[in-house]
Order: sequence, then C-alpha cells, then structure tokens
Amino acid sequence: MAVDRDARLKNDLEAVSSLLSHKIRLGICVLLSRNTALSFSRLKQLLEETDGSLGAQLRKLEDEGFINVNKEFVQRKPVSWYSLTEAGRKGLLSHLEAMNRLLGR
Amino acid sequence: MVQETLESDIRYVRALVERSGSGSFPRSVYVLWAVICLLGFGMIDFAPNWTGPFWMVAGPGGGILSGILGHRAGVRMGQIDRGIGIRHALHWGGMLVVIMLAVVLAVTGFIQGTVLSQVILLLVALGWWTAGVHFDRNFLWFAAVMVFGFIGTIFDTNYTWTVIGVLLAVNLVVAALRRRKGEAENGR
Repeated sequence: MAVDRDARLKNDLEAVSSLLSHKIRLGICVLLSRNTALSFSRLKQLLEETDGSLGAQLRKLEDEGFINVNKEFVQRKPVSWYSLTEAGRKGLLSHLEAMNRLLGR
Repeated sequence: MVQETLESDIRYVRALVERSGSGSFPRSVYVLWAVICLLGFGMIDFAPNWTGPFWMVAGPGGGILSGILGHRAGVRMGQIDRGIGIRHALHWGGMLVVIMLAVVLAVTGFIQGTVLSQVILLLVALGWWTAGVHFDRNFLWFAAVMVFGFIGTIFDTNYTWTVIGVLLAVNLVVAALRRRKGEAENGR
C-alpha cells in the first residue's frame, strides 16, 4: 500500500516539468494561456523582472517549443509579441494537473 | 517542502493573473460614450426629431469605434486577447440587434415614440449592467444611473432625459479620470 503511494508520488513529481518548476516560467505560461499575445514590456511589467532575467526565461521556453515570438513594429518601435504554442498549452496543463494531484494528497 | 513550494507558486501565479486584469475598457471609450450620451439624451428634450437619426449613427458607430479604441489600447499596453474581443462583439452586437427590433415595434405602430425611448433605455441599462458583471465593474454604476433615470421618465418631468445624459456623462468622465489616476500609480 505504502509502496503504491510512494510510486504515485514519484510519478507525480516526475510529471511536474522541470521547465515549469521555475515560477517565472510558470507565470509566463499561465499569463500567455489567458491572452492571445503579450509583449515583452508587458510581461516585464507584470512579472517585475529585469530585461536580462526575463529574456533568459523566455529563451528557455522558446527553445523547448513552449512559446512563439513574433517581432513587429508598433508606432515605429520594435515590439516582441509572445504567445503559447499548442505544445506549451499541453505542457502547462499536465504540469498544473500534476501540481493539483500533489497538493490534493 | 514540495507542498510549500507548490503553494507558493500558486499564490504567485494567482497574484499575476489578478494584476494582468482583462476586459475593462480604456479611458478613451469612457470619454467617447460620455460625449455620445450627453448629446443623444439631451437631444430627446431639445431636438426630438434628430434623436432617431443620431442614435442610428452614434449607436453602431460608437460601438465600432469602441472596438477599435479597445484594440489599440491593448496593442499599446502590450496585451492582446482575441477571446475577450469576441465576447465584447457578441455582447454589444446582441444588444444592438435587440434595440433594432424594439425600433421595429415603433415603426410598425405597436408602441409610441416616448415609450420607445423608455424601452431602449431599459434595454441599454440591462446591457450595461451585464457588461458590468462580465467586463468592467464601473458599468454596474452606469446602469444603475440609467435605471434611476428611467424611473424619472415615468413622472414626465421637464428635461429628465437631459439630466440622465448629464449624469451619465459625468459618471463616465469621473471613471475615466479615476482610471488614469490608477494607471499613473501603477506606472502604466
């Protein structure tokens, strides 16, 4: 019985993706899941992160295929728009489900 | 330990979501409707023959312009949500269709001109109330002003419609100013 419980706990902990275990990356994905697109400056404002730190976290998510970036000019200023990919949405969902299972114990 | 970390992450994400907000109107939309309400309601008392044509243009035109202003404000802020845009279009488009059908009642002679204005005021009050429930809490107050105004029209006192227009315009402008103050405090 205890072995089953430990095995389930181990599975759930493994299901919690290491990519989204970082709270800034989790925050980015949750915000993007609720919006079509967010600009770099809006993300920076909401997450209260420095350019360097936010840029590094965004690059990690982009490298893993969780987010897309689209660069365009708004009022002659370059703007980077970030959106969640389908893989990112699925990854976030399974991460949140695993978190829920762990907290439900 | 794991549980504490997860709970801390959830608290952090929840605070982020609350901060990001969604669905409320930019200041420019408040100001636009302050002008439209001031002119349109005042017209019922001072130029009744112009009221119908004015609202036929200002109602749908103001709605389209509000959509454009809302989208532009979203782009400027760096936050685009097509889902909320579609919900706005369905909400305000539905209200417009119902108002047009009420106008058909007047055209076909089922109700008279003054009653039509009162029916439309009630329909708009309901539309603005539900907008307050789903999008922007300020609209609950604007809808309440309309309902009190509707009660005033039952007693048929002078310049009731103008008073409703002035009250709505003042409330819309005050809400716009409060939003500007809030945005300045948040550093937006």
